Amino acid sequence: MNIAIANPILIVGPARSGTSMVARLFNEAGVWKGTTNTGNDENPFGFYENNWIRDGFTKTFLGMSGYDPLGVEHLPPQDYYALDRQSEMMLNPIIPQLLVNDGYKSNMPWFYKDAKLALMWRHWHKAFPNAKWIVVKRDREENIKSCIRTEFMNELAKDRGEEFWTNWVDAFLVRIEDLKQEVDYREINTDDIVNGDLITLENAINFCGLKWNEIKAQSSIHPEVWGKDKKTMSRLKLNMGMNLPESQLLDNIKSNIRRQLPQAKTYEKNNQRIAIVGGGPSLLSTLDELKAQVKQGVKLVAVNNTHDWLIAHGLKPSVHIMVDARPHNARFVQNPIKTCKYMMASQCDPSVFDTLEGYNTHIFHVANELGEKDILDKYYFDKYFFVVGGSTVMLRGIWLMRMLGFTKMDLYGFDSCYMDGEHHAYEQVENDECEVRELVCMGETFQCAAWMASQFDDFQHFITNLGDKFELNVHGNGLIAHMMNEGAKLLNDKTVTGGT
Amino acid sequence: MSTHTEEKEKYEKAWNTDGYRAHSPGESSLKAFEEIAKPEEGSSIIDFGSGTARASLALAQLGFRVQMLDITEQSMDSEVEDYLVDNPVNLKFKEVNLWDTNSMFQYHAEYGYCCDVMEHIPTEYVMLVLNNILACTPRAFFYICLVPDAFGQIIGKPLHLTVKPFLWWREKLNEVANVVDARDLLHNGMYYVESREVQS
Repeated sequence: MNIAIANPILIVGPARSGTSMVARLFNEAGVWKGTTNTGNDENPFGFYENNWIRDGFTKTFLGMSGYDPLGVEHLPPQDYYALDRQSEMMLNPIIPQLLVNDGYKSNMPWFYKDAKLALMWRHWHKAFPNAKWIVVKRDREENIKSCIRTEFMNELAKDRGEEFWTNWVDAFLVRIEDLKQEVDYREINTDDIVNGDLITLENAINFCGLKWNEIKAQSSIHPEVWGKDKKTMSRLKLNMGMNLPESQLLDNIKSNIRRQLPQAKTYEKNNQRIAIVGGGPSLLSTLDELKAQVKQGVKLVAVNNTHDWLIAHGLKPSVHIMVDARPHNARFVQNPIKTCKYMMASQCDPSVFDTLEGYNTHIFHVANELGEKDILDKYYFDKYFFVVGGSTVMLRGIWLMRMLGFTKMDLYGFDSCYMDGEHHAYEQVENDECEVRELVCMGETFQCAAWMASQFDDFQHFITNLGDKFELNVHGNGLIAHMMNEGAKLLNDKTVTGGT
Repeated sequence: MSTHTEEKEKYEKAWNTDGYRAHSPGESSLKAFEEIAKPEEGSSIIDFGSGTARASLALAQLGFRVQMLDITEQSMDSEVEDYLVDNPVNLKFKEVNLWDTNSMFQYHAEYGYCCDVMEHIPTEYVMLVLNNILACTPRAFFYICLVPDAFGQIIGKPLHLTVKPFLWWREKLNEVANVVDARDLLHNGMYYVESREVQS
């Protein structure tokens, strides 16, 4: 066996503890994963379990030994070690052969991620004594709750309820405690990761001899999908324009990148203040503030329909950003102006780009994990960026402008709630039929559509993780402004209390 | 001293300075050239501004007939010089000034390959060089750096004399040919053009 094949990275943790996210981060750090299943609503970025090893070895081995091949119902005992000398030797020839069948090339670092490693870890340890183990840890209660509410987990053990899943998670945890006594490992806390503390991840990456890239890691972590139920994920998809068929979205990208347009690219930080103008209802009441800022030299960034709204109110946007892939959004670019820079996501409908022919148009890319990475890798020879940020054009716009070097931002019309029964500062019929819910934030009740609540949620994660990279000032009296103002008051109170 | 002589001396100094030879964009862009231009096996190619000539060598080893042109012969790697001795038919070198139409006039090939060159040309000569290249070949692949060079500081003179945005180069190329493919690769622009005669 060559050195790399004999030194795998083995990623283990109870199902729903975040092992897929950790595996994805290792994969993005350059570790080979082989063929794995794509994602679903509850594991949107994929499962990252090597299909060849899982089906060709793990399940077969458990099944032939009389245990549940899926590792759910009838688990091997805690001290399980069943191999005699001859079968011990099987692990080494079998796994390398499966890897080669899956396209593994010599000397690539590789990982295998599987919760079921916890059930048969002694066999793996015997076969690969120099493996680096990554133990994934999540808050136990949250781990159990996630198992209960996850559809595909419940399909594995129908109607078994909380007690079953509590015992099941504990069974894995106790075995993982055993393995930690024997193997060379590092522990990654996934709760910390999604809250922006990457230290356990960094330690684990370094431990495996990989190159740590904090910016890349941050952009690959999606707090907005962590701990969400299926309904929330659907809202996220709707807002990203993913309600289009996948093939159409990818066709849009394939077509638009061939338009010979410049890509949005990163620049050094600058001191120019900008105002990003969303279409929330508070935009009307804050128009005078906005005009005053423009007189002081603030540059305007429009999103979607605020481009035309600003022009109608005597203001010229310097930048216009669109992300949504639905064809009807082409109406937002029917009146382009020569002085504006149009930053359009590659997933936008081609008619958007047709309309902007001859105008100062740039293209940028957002990740939906639908195969766009392969298309962009091939076309741009890996020379492109994904713009991270969240589920709506405002959130993406903030990050895009940060990428372009702007750190001082005023946000207008960024409410995430109804105000006086209006969802926008102007007519937008698509949102007229949205179901409205109440959302209580820091003592005040707001009326929100699902997409507003999702945007609010994403913005909270966004601020928690990336807030130190911006100077943000939210105008108006919507939900987001309320949260920012009350949050700032709380911080001030804490500072005062801490000083006494 | 003429601009040509000045530039030639500058590059002779650069090529004899440690580190300049280590990076060869022309070599790393070969994959893109083959993928986009899809040159037929055995075709003739001119490597305009061949530099280390490692890209030319790789093309010759793939079975193409390659004519290298560069402002100075000192740019060539010794490995390529050795290859030239044994393979004088499918790989040739000539020292030329790319904006001298008279000296360029005699070279013709089915494809042109021009990587990490155009940004080194003084801006006032850019259109002349593009016209000369398109007079030599009906199809040309360009890989152009869009940002200032770092190496010029070491030799005391900037090497990238024409640092322009992606679209500026596309427009210049469009003046002399049809731009079939143009990709903004962040710090570099990649362009594939065909002369209007080919397209018609």
